[in-house]
Order: sequence, then structure tokens, then C-alpha cells
Amino acid sequence: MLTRREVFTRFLQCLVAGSSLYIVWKYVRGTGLSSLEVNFSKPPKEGEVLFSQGSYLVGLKQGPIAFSARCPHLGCRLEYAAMVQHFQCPCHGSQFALEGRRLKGPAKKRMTILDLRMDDRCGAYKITLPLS
Amino acid sequence: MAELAWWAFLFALITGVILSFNYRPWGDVFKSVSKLTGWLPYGAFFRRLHYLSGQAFLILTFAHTLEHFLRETYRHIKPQEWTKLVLLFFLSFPLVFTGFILKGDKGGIIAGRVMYNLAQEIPCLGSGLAALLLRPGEDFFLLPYLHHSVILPLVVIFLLGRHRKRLLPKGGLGWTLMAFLAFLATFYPLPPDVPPHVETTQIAGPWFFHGIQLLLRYGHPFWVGVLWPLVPIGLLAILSFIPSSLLKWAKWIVIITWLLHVTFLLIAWCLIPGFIK
Repeated sequence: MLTRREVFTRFLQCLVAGSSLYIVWKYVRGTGLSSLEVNFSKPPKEGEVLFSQGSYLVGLKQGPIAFSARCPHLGCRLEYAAMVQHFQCPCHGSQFALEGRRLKGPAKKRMTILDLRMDDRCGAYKITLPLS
Repeated sequence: MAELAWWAFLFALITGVILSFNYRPWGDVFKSVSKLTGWLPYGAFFRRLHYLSGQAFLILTFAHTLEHFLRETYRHIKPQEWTKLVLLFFLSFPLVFTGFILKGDKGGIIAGRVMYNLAQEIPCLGSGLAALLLRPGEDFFLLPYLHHSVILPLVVIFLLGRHRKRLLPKGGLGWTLMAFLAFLATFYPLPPDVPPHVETTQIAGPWFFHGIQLLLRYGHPFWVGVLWPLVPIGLLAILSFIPSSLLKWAKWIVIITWLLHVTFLLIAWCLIPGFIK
């Protein structure tokens, strides 16, 4: 049979353990943004590559196309090499053409295409960039 | 060797606490680190001392493990004592790796992303494990900060076990190490921090990761980025559980896997420009 003091102590222990777990869970889970709205104020010319906040807007013959700047291999930020007109990964050496096609591995997939919307009022382009 | 490693860990802990007063793992972390290094009195010195003592801890733990491996201590001590030693050696890598991420520069951010994506490559457990390591987005540095400054140091202190009690009697060794690290910290420049927005043709992870980074150019991320680094550590950890008739073979397999790791590291340093600055 537990005494009143023991019951109270166990209750307090459970309370402290529970609230600690809750704090850790909140910390791990977080409340951060899951996506980011990226704006490009002007459309790119043909062959032009614009960069903003982790995304590329590329001017192609058939119109602009948006890509995530993350390499589909392991997520390093792709750099645009203007001299050779392709994207390359500074970590593991993957290369991608201007239209996002894979030129060289280790990446197995093409660059991730992002949803691109045009704001009719000001002619700006908007991209939703997923953060995960 | 163990006492020296314990001292190196203590210096890293003390300098880490000093740095944490001015470090913010949210917002513009690179700016926070630049401010800490450039503006605060002795900020650069403490950052260098923290970096050097962390590296010293990693190298001394390696030397301590190697010493016991060569002496075949795993034959004589309790299996759990040996596993503790190997686990401590293993944990020194994530401890230094998370510190590398927390610099907040381009190399740190990319190292964090690579770690996250490598964890996701693990079958079944991947996404859950990745969520415990790092959270992409605006809280990118929070979990590495929690691991680097709270969870991993606590586990290391627990694993250091009986060495903790030996600290005071052999204190002289620690002061010599501190004097040496402080001397180095005064004159040794830290590897340069690359601002996150700057374009670079080559990004390198922490020095001990260069061999794996090279292999990731050719192999599947799970095999070469997750399993291959764990093989020599895992083999080392189970040595004391292996029957004595097979121990000779097991020892040679451990040596060969470690030599292969060192070979890939040296190849990466020789072949890829920008890996050693």
C-alpha cells in the first residue's frame, strides 16, 4: 500500500517526466514553415538563368521553367556554370543541362521542376519551394 | 591517452559553453558565427580552441581505441566495456560533424543536407531517423545544435566512465595539452568559412568524411554513405563477442577495412582539388 507521500512523489515524477518529453517532442517536431514562396520580379530572357532562395528560373525557347537548386542526389546546392551553360553539383560532381536533364551522375534523376505561377497584375513569377 | 582525450573533451565542453553565450542556432547563423568570430573580444581564439580541442578529442579517442586494439584488450575485458570504448570512438565523429554543420556557412549547410538525405536512404527507418537528426527549413540548425551541445556530450560523459574519476590525479597532463592547444589556437588559422550565397565549384565536408564524399560520386548513397562507414566500427565493436578461434581472422578484416578507409581518404586528398586547403 502506497502512502500519501509516495503517491504524491510519483505523481510529481510523472509530471516532470511527461512535461520533459512534451518539450523534447515539441522541439523535435517544430513549427517551422514547410514551403517558401519565391518571387522573381522579371521573366528571364532565353538562355538566361536567375537564382533566388534555393530555386532557379531558366529562360527556355518554350518559356520559363523553374527548378529546385537542390541536387536530386544528396541535396547539395547546384551551381550554374555560365561558361559551359549547365548546372553542376559542387559536392559529388553531377551535371544537368539547362532544361534540367541529367548529363552526368551520380544523380539518377533530373532536376526537380517546381510549380511556376505568373502574377498577371505585375508580370512577376512565383514559385512554391518545398523546404523538406 | 584516455586522460588526454578526456581533457580535450573538457576543453571542447568549456569553450563550447563560452561560445554558446553568443551563438544563435536560428535566423542568420552565418552572421551569428561571423559576429562571434570577428567582433567579440577573444571570440576567434575561443572558436579556434573549441575547434582544435574537438579535433584533438577525435584523434586521441582514435589513438586510444587503436592502442587497445593492438594490445588485444578486447580478449581480456568485459564485452560491454569494449563496446563502450568503440561507441565512444564512434560518437566522436557525429560530435565533430554536427559542429561542422553549426558553422552555418555553405559547407556546414550542405553537410547538414547530405547527412539528412543519407539518413533518408536507410530502408524503413530512414525518414524517422532523418527527422531526429535535422529539420529542413527555418529551424535547420536547431536539432544539430541540440545533439552537439546536449545529447552527444551527455552520452560521451556517461561512456567515459571510470576515466572521469582519474582526472584530478593526472591533471598535469591536461595542463600541458591545454597550453599546446592554446598555443595552436593563437597562431593556427581556421579553415575559411564560405558565406552561404557564394558560388563555389567545390565543397568539402569535414576532413574525415572526404573519402566517403569521393565514394559518393560513384556508389549508391546507402551502401557507400551509410553502410560502408559503419562496417569497420561495427566489426570493431563486436570483436569481444567473437569466439577466440575466429578472432585472428576478425582482427585482420578490421585492419583491412580501416586501411581501405584510409586509402580512400588519401586518394580523395590527392585527386580532388579543394579538399585540402
